[in-house]
Amino acid sequence: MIFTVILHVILSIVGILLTPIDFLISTLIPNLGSYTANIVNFFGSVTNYLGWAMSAIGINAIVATLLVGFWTFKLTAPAFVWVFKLVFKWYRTLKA
Amino acid sequence: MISVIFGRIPVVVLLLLLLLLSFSFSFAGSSTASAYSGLFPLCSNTPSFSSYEASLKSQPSYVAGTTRSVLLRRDNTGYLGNNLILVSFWSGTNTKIHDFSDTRVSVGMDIRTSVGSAFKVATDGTLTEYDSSFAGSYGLSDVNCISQVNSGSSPLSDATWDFNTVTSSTATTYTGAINSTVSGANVTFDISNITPAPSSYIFNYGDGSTGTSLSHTYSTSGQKNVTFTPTPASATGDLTVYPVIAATPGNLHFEANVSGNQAAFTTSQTDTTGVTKIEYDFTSGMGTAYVDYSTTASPAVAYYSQSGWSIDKSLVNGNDVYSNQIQYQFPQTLKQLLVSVRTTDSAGYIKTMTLSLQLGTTGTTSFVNDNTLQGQAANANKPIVCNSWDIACFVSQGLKSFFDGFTSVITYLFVPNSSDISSAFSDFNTTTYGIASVIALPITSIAKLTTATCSPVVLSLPFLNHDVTLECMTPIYAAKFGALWVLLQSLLTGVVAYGVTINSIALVKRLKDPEDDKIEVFSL
Repeated sequence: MIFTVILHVILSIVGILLTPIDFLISTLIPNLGSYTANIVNFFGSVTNYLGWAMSAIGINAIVATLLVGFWTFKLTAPAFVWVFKLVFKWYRTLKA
Repeated sequence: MISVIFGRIPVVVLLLLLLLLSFSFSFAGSSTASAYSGLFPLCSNTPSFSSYEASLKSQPSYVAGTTRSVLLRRDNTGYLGNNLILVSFWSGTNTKIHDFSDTRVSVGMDIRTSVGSAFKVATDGTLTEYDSSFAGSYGLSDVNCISQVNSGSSPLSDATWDFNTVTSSTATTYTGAINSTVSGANVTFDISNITPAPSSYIFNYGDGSTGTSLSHTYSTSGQKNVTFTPTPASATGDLTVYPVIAATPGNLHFEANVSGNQAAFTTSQTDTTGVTKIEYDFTSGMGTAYVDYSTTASPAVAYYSQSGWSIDKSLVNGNDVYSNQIQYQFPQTLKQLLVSVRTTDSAGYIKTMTLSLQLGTTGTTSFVNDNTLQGQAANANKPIVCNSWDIACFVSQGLKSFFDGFTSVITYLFVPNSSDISSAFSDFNTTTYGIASVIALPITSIAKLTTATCSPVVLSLPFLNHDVTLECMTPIYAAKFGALWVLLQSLLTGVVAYGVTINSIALVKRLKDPEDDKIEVFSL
């Protein structure tokens, strides 16, 4: 569950940053918005078969969770560390 | 002397009267003397219907045992003009019991419509039937005189009535059945199986209406005895249909108050006469709930089929008005909600209607008898809908969602028995479209890995009209390889766990390396 939460946090950050741009695209270039939506729909359709593919390959749920957890940690931990580092750097700068 | 007594003018009038009398006698004498070689004499004697019957039977087209109509022909060859022909039946000498007339403007046409309606031939060939237009209780046997008058330009004296030229119609025997298809209140009739195809027909739909349409919409439920009458007629076809018209929910007031993904619905119905059960179906897998009215007017028990539903029902004002409170936590922010309402009446008939709720706008939603959606959902605690170009609104909503989710995470981590984590960021759905969705696509896909469950894949083969089903392989592997499969899975899990552990430790070491990451923060 914690992995899902972390992923949601990342998705939310991405969404916050890109919402204005997406809004402009949907308003000014609606065709581009449809294009990106189709990409998402395509991958959404493909990922619907993830369960069957994992079953065919022989990857069980534990293995999948381990892999997802590792890659989530690998991709997010440095970012969090960098964020904390940045915050304290600002704090020290302001304190000085 | 005459001129002395009556004067000059009365003498002239008298001469004119004599002249008119002479014309009258001349006309009557001419008519009486006319040679009507055909069917009807002109009030000269009692018609001999037996001779007509014999003449009818002698016709080549006559088939014993069939019902036929008599069609009389008046051949006025040689005359043009608009002829109004009036034929009258008389009982005695002064009592007219039936008139029929016809107007023809061309040569040699038949006066068959009117006459044909006056006579019908029974199956034994006797002229025993006649239409109801005969006056009073008179019938064909009461006719002792038939007269005819031509008011047009053609003189009657040259008209000929010839019974032997009368054409007869043979009764039509139909085969085949009438089929019906019931779709709710609408019933469609299929007469394509009836041979020969009738030239025309009429339905008595069994609800007091008639018509020629092959589709009929009933206003009430229940058995309807439908009669089908073809033309030419020989018989009628009967069938029974059962249109389905469930009792409507009356005037259903539907109001939704939404806060995030929490929704509280208030419904009330009036004029729900005949409704025994009202069911609500919140689409998109959001569950189904229903209130059962069949047992009592105010059931104490509210039924629900999904955890999270809460239904409270009470009888209001004792006036068949119901109010329901339905609360539900949806998995995502509500922007539009389709709610199907299904009513069942005491006869078991079901009627389904659908509400479309545009949440976040002002108004109320009323669901009326004609299935028309009126108004919109209520705006109490509505989710904020940003207007166009209001970028600040979008950003603020995104931040709000983020911090709501963050709060949810903190609550989950530090509050015992908290389940709020299940809704963390669930109402933040900007990653379903636009560039954000594409960038987040790999993460979204990875997230699906954690919840992926196998279901058989059904592939449609083109041109073969056949589907191929790919079953989940795990049970098959387990059945085929048994212990070997368990061992392989254990090894795979162990290898992956080992690799993840080693790499995770290495990653942490790199993070703790001050040269690599300058993690002064960890030393504080």
